[in-house]
Amino acid sequence: MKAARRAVVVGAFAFVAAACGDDDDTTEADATTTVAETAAPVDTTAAGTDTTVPAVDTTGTATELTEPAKVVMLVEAKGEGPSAVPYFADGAQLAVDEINAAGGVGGLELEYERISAPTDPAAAKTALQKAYDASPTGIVGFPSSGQAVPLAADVKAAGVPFIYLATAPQLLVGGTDSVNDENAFVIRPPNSSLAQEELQYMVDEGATKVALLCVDSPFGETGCNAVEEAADSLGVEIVAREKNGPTDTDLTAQVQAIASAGPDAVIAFDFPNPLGVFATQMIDNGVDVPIMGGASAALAIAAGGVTGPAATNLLGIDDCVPVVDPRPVAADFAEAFETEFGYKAGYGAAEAYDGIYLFKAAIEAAGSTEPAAVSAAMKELTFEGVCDPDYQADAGNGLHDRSYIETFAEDGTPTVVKEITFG
Amino acid sequence: MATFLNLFASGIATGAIVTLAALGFLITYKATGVVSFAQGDMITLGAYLGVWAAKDLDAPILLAYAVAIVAMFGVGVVMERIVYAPLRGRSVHVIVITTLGAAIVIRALINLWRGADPQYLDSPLRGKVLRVGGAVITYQRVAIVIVTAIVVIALIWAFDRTQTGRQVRALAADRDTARLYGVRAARLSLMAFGLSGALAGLAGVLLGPVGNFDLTLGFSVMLGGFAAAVLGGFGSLGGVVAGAMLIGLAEQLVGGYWLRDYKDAYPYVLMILVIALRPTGLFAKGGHARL
Repeated sequence: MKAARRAVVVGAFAFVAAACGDDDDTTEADATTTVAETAAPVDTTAAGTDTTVPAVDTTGTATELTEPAKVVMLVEAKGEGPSAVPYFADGAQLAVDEINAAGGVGGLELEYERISAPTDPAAAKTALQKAYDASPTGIVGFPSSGQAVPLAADVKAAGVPFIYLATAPQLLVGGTDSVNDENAFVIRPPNSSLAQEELQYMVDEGATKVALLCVDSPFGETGCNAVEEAADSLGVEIVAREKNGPTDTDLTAQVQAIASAGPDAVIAFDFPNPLGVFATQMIDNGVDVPIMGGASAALAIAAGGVTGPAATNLLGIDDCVPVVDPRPVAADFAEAFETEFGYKAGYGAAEAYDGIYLFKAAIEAAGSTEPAAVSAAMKELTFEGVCDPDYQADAGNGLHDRSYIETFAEDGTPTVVKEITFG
Repeated sequence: MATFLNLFASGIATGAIVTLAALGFLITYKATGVVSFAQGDMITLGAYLGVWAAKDLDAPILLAYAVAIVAMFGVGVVMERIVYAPLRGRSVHVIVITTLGAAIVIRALINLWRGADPQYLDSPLRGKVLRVGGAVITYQRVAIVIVTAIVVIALIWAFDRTQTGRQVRALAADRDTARLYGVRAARLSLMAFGLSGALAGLAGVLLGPVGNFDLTLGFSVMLGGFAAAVLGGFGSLGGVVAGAMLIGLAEQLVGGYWLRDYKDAYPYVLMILVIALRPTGLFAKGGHARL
């Protein structure tokens, strides 16, 4: 009994200590989770209800700030979750380091904090609360629409400028089922018409008979359905539609079925690992046709399992390809990133990097860290970033309106073959 | 004909990998009475250790495989010390759940160590294919089948001809009596977990080069191995091998021709049908344990 009573006292003390402590640890969320859930609601009156937008100076000249700007990054880093990748955190860190080395934002050091945001929406909400506790000027994060969409209303309620690293119609102002958050921006291009663009490209390359490979998930089903819907209007016959499991390591059955259908091309909505196996098995079985692999193609090749003719048959589509972009801002970023982190940057790292710089530009244009002013400045910005030469907010607060189709050499080196501009 | 041969070869290769996973289950089960649900993540760890040895240590690829297998023997021994030994004598259900916890810990540790990015383990047989009757069979899959056959023969020989093997069989047949006759159960459980770990490492370095892989590599193999052990009969080495081959052929050969979208379910449908008709499995004899 005494031991139990002692345990309760110690536990209560720990609870109070956690609530009062200045928690900078972005990996140990447990002690502060309870505190975040019971903390006072974020005061949104200043930012959320005032719709009068102050005039902002968008000439791009640096303005001295009276208090430092702070950006919070809501992404996982390596090892923090079953699907955590390091790209976003590394891209953002590079931007912050560069900005502070060059004098910061508005003459003051840019304060930065990365908070681990698990893909589980409930855990991501906790991370979001922690972000607001840090009183940021802006937030960049949520690379997964599975995090972003369920929490869009919470993001809107807080009124803090937010750049989403995911894309979904629900995140755009005026989009389907959108919360219409004027303070939130989407840095990824819209993907609703990507499937049609992929099919169009294959048609332009001469394909009239197309086979589909669809991973057994909503992503696979939705993509393949979109291609099938567009096929008739483009005069394309869908000769086969095969499904595979997300972790399959043997696609012999699918390869045999597709090979016997005699397609000119294959469009795959698949995860990187099975896509790589499929591309290799197609070549092994003598089926030498182009395979449009979407964003998974570059990832499949980057891991090393797809080389030679299997790589040259794969096509990918990415938001940008910084490693081959000749623009100085992209080339400098690609070199600095690989030097710092030891691997090549993809679009995820580039967009995270650009997100930090976009906030820098908006804050300096606004001459203020006040959320409404920063949001207003973001809407008016024209900004050359790594992943887009011309970031500009459209009516839906989408910042990035293009993607790139790429082919690969036998060693996996990408070449951009087509730029797609949306709406 | 080419399609049939392709699917048949694929089924045999799948069955071979499942055999290695099932043998890992079998060995620990016979020596300790415990089914280890960490076997799948041990396979994954074996593949990651192969990548580490090949890329970070810059070892020649076959040496990298050997390093991974030996390291996994050690991991198996550590598993026995941490997961099984402290719970010896407790309910088997407690130990099984603990092995499931160990699986989650192993996966989290791999993630912290190497991240969640896809990995690739090279192979000296990369890109080489065998053409038989119009079918295309990669040398890697041929190697999987040959190596598994060697392992099975070696295990049969070991359990039949060596003193240690006979002691394990005695433990499997009647644990209490075997201990009364001086069989050292603790030493044998260490050896069994170590051997099971080495088999997981072998499965990992054989399966890794098939394509890019990630943290989920061993999970579906483990499920197949468990189904094979149940289907063939936990008591019979030959039964487990036969069960694994049936699993592989059901998935690839049957699934290749009929309702292909659901081929992943066929092994488990088969398992359920078999145990509904013969609860001890196809080759287990009555209620007695056998090797």
